[in-house]
Amino acid sequence: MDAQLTPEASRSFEYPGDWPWPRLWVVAGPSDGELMQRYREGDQQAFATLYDRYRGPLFRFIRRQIDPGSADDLFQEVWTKVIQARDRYEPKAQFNTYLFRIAHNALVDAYRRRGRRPDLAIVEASTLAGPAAEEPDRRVRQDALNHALLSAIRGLPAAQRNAFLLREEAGLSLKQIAQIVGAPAETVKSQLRYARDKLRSTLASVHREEIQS
Amino acid sequence: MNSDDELSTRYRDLPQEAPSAELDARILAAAQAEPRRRPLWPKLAAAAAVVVLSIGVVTRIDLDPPLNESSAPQTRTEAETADAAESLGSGAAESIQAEPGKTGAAPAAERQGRPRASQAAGLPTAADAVPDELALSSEREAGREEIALPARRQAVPNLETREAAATAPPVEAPPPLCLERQSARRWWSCIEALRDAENPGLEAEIEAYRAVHGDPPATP
Repeated sequence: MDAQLTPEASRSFEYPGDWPWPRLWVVAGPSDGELMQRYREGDQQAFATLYDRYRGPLFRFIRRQIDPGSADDLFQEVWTKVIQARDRYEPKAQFNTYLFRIAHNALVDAYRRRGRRPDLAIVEASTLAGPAAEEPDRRVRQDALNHALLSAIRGLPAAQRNAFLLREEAGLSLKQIAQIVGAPAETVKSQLRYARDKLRSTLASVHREEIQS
Repeated sequence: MNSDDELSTRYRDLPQEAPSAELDARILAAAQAEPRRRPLWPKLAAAAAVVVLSIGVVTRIDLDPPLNESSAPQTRTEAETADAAESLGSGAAESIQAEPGKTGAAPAAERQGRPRASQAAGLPTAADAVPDELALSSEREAGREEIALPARRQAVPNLETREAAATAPPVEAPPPLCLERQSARRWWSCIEALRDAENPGLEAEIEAYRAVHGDPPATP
């Protein structure tokens, strides 16, 4: 018997944040809002569930815009704010919008503190290592593509990078991204299109170099 | 790499970075800590201050006399000043009357036709208390029992002050003793009262009465 998608049931449809889960809406227990409500009432397990849902996407969203040392600090800062604001949290907006808005603001503050663009040149070798079972040639090629893609992402203008990561990492809609960055949805749509065009162009050039070599 | 889906697939193929186990442990430990409650004492202190201030305001209102009673001390002060002037002698009374701005200067200012601030405010003064008191008996005789203010009765000692001022060397013409001159009966009642008080300006008042109303009625 198929489950009816009632309004009550639809609230329990959650997107499990961590890749490489298939990007589908699946039944994943209580909604984020319900988990926060339970956490406010003292249920620590609810927070653990919530944290497990978003730890990966949030960490990558931050890590891919700032250096590794600052990424850890910012990641902890964002969750600390969520913890401290648990009594004041009201499920007006979706939790993921709420969470990534905090992260976005923390990143903006970090940029201001530095007075310049974040140092994005550091690419740890571990982030490029693919599965060990892969063939060496293929692995090298994959590493090259990953490196090129990550470098291209980090080379994007901040607004475009933000829009792209919020879309790909957090799975947010244009409207939600617009709410987070405080820009019209059409502007976000344009930024997203420019970002994708640049990334595609970068990867295409890498691909051509590989074929030529 | 021609579509958005391919780019998304390529992005998903990137290594999945995640926070370290130590970072996870720190955050989960922070989440288990009790929320730091705001201290309660500022609210309690504010509530206590509001209560104390309210009680103070209410008590103050209860202790303060009503506004119509507040004029009595002022009149009393003027009367006391006049008494002090009398005890010092007529020269002192003149000096007090000559100083504008002091309470004892009210009769002199009245003689010069200047209105006093207390008159403008509708408050009874020492100067008009004398004729008011004298007119009070005539009003009673006419059957019109007027509600007398305490200030009027407290201003009665000013009659002696007025006598002291009259015995002093006259600087100007004395003011009329009876203000109620329209009604012959009331005016004569006022004159009778002045006769009882042995007022030196009585003859002038009787002459003024004769000039307006003719011969006075026969005294019973």
